[in-house]
Amino acid sequence: MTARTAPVLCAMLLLLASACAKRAAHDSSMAPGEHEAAGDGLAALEHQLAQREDQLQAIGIATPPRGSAAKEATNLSGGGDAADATAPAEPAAASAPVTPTRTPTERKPDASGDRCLQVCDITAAICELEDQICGLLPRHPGDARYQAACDRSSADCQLATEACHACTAQ
Amino acid sequence: MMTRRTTSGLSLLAGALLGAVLMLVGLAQAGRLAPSRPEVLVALAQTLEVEHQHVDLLLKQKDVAGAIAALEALRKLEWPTRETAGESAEQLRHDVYGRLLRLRLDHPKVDPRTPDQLAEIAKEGLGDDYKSLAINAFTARMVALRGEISELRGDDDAALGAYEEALTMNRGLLQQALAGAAP
Repeated sequence: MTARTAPVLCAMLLLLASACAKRAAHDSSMAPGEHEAAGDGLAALEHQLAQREDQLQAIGIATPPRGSAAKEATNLSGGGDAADATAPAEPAAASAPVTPTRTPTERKPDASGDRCLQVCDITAAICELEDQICGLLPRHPGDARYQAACDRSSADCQLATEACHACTAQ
Repeated sequence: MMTRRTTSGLSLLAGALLGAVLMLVGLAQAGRLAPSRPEVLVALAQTLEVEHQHVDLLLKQKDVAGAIAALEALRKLEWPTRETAGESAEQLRHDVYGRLLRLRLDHPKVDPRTPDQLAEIAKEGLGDDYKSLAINAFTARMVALRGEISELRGDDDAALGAYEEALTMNRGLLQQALAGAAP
């Protein structure tokens, strides 16, 4: 019972957090001087972030110094590999196994479409793991453990794919 | 006779009370009870939400180095314990570290790290007690990433173990999703 109620409580807290964040964003957008000073989306986000970190510090959670991150980012941007810096945007989202979103509660299905999306996201993760597991086989020919793991992951991928197709066909 | 009955009743009551306390302590230690300081979880979630938006924006501007630096800065955060902020705080940490490691693996030439250093980041992010967490996508991703890092280190046995562990987690997530009970 408690294990069931805990996620609900967390979901409520995170919803509250989201509402507060939206309100804060609204508040900041209502301050003309601040908004003009921000100049662009990044500056506005950094402003919001500073506010959130102040909140964390107020309740006793130490946060990294803001200046150091920005400075580090600038240094890295200057010295980073150009080819990588111009790589396609959002590699994390594209390659993440289950494409985890920002908070667990955001993945909570509230309609069959969301549920199917979730099933298919998990399917993508399972099939990616199949690729990784079976990709080890050529380096371990004749090793029963690697072969069995590959076979099992292939079966999992097939089953998950069928579940995804069945869900989206409904 | 009366004294013996009273003593027996008290013993029974004490036993029941002790059992209840032990159960509560056990649940609290497992992080399955409400966090002792829910406001910490709220503040953490708000902060990370903005940080992720910040990273999204940096990546949209093709500033991978900036995105990595922003996520690296979060490693310095004093992450709240499970007892303080509940299991969700650990899952949020796994999300951040998973995103950082994904970027580092996909862009090995940006602020390079050795495979051993990546393994250290993965260990730091996962924590010692991740196996006792409720099944979730963020931890599953972190475990799969640990497998990739093990491959980079040339330890295929460890990689296979991590991939199988992640597969088991995803299998459980799929079952939950199909049952309509996924978190």
